[in-house]
Amino acid sequence: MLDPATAGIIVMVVMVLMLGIGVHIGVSLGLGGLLGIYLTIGPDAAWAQLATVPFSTTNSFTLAVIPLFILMGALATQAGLTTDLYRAAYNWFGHLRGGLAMATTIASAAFGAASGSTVVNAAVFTRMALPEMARFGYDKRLSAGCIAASGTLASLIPPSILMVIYAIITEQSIALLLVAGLLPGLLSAAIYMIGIYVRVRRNPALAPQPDLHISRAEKWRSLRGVWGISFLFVLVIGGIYTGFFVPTYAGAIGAFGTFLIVIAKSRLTGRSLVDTFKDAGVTTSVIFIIVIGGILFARFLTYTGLVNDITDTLLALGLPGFAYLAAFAVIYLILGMLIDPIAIMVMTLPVMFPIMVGVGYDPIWLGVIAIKLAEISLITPPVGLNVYVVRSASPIPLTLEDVFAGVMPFLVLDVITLALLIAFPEIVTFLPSLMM
Amino acid sequence: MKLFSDLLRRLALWVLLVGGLGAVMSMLLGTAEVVGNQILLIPVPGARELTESTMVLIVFGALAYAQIRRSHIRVELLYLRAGPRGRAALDVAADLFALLFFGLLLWQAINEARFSWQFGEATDGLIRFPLFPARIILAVGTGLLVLQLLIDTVTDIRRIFDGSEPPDRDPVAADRPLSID
Repeated sequence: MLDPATAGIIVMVVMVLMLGIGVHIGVSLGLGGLLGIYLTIGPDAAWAQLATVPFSTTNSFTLAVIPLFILMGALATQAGLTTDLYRAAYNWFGHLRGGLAMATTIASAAFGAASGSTVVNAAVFTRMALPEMARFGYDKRLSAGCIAASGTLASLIPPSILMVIYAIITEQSIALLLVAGLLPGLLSAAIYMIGIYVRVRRNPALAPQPDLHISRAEKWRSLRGVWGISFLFVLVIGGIYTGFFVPTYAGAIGAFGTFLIVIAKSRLTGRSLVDTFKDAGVTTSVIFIIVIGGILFARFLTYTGLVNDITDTLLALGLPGFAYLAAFAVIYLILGMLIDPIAIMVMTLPVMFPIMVGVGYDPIWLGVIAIKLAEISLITPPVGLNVYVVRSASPIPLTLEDVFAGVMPFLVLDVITLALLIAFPEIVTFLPSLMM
Repeated sequence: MKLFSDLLRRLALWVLLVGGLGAVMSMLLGTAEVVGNQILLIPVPGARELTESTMVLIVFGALAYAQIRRSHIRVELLYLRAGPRGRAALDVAADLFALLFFGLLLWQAINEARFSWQFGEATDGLIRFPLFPARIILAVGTGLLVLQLLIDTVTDIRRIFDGSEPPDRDPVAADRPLSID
């Protein structure tokens, strides 16, 4: 049998090759983990892991929160709740200079409260908000950048699938993490809005003042379409916050409530239900295969003692805590340029989490920072996923360069948010501290 | 092969839809458990265990269909820069590695399902909920995926020669028309 360090190097090389040629991420991680266990402990141990991990990962009450939140998001998308949210935000903010971009940010953040998917968020708002902004003469870079960036808000604002994945890998409380994402998510949205306001004030050509006259009655009427989902959000997050129910039940109630809203709006047909099942089923399956692969990989790292060795070596360097945080951020941003955020978490956290906690960082706070970094990676070149989504979903001609240029100011705003979260960790820890 | 492929596609969709109904059942059970347990103080027996087994159905039931839609996530840096034949070759490599992983998983899943069935494996606790159905579902779901991967491997090898695009790409969920009116 090989020593863990040699096996570790072989596994890394094989995994990088597999990932590079486009082998599915879950498969790459799973095969990498199995190979490592095979080389260091033996074939029986490898097969034993393969026999137990896929079943124990899926046959889990705690993880049932993932498909339920996904179902909630898929139902909300099918129900066209985004249309209602955008209509309401549009009616209230559309008349301001830059108001349509602000409305997009607000509606996107609000939709993030029903859906944990940044991709769906970006795609839906591209189809809906981009033509509106184009109609009123908005700069298309500003519009596209705003949509791509606002789409990422879904991964901080609960319910967030990414947050649940972080909780699973680091064995932290899902409830605390979901609640911890709320204030940073709202802060991100607020900073986007301030950023938009400042930009259009300084350069009015970016967003001409639209000639919109919406009566007070119409404004209030548009809120009718969103009160249901607002109530549901308060119920789901309130229930988790007060400890009235566990996150899995919050997922069940969220999905059930959305289901009722969809029925009440008469937007559920047999066809749309089948589409909802398809979307929710495929998304769930894809995520779980990555998680299963990631857990197999993590087993190799922990069982062979590699994690402890790496942690001890890096902690022995005795660098200041901030240096470790900076390294953490750099690794996330680099990987984020190439790999899906869920895969980044699954690959890096088994090694990086013990180091970061060893340096003294709070595990819940670190979760929010990790997600914020993953959000940023969703809009950084060359592979910012949301940028591609906006471009491919766009009904008006847009180049990738347009969208990347458009998201740049939002990247700067994200860095400001990140700096605030680091400088004032209470923004993250305040709500969870009240729950303990 | 077309007939076999169509049959498998239909089967994969049906298993996925059963999983979807399972998700709806978990949603109703969870809601009933909160209302029953926390408000009416009447526990719903077995809700938790049933939810767990349903999870296996949701994940492994959708596995083959996710492959049919080619939705599994990969690093596309090289893929997007390759020509049609290069992409086909990369797809073949992805198929073969996936066949290796899921083939091994299928082998273990069948063993586990057989043991579970023989020994009447069940959960601990007040209600002894049988675990073998979930184990069988895991093996069946993985088996369907392995069959689909075999079909895809053949299709993708052909694509290397004729330079065609894969027959089905993942339509983004939000691709359906929406308007703000």
